[in-house]
Amino acid sequence: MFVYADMAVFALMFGCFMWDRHQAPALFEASRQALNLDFGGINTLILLSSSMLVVLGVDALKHGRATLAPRFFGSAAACGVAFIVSKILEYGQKFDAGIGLTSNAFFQYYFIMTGLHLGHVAVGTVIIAVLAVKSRGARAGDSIALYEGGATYWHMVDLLWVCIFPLLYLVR
Amino acid sequence: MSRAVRSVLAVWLLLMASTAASTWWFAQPLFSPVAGTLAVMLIATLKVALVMSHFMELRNAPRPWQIAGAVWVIAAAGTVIGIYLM
Repeated sequence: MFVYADMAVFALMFGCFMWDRHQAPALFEASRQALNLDFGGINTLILLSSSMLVVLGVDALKHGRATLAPRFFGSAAACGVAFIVSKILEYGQKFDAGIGLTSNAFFQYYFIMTGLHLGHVAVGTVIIAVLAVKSRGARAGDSIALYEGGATYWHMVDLLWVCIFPLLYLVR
Repeated sequence: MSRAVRSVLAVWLLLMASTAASTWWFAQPLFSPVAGTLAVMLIATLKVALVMSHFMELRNAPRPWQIAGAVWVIAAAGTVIGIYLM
């Protein structure tokens, strides 16, 4: 339920962004061109890979291969850290270019949407790292509800980025 | 390797390839802005549906959750694409 509520809030933001873009297409397009597509694309590949690793981690626990789970969850958490580092580098480039939250409406959306998402990534990375540690002691027959809950949250983080990335970086 | 794992890996490869196509092909100037953007939006919609069905396992979830997921995808994609085409 929490996941759907979170997704509904982001969907509302997507609609507001498109509406404001519709009102000032030239400003939004000029601002979009200041973004680095490579950062966005690589970040998407990182999150998709981390989601796949989490699926494999849960699958390993489900099918009695518990020893593999910590490696999958640990690798997924490392992807989360890579995303955070990449985002910090990207923000640094923007700040160096004199671009900030108050530059214009586009960058207000850019920093708010990516910032809120980055917060979700940070929380998700901690959750997945905790699951990596916890799964070291997992045994066949243990409940995996906790792992499935953490995995669902992480997939939502991935799913939201799959939407945010094209909206901000690719819509021309 | 189990059938479920093979299926997840196939979906992951499709997601990676479609991300690369969106970022480094459809978003480039060789496509008109509208055609490129619509391709990007449709690919993003497909990716969201795949993440929901195969990663979040909505395809095996109770019916009400599947409907809620489908409603979100249709509402979000419909709103974004609808406003873009206005």
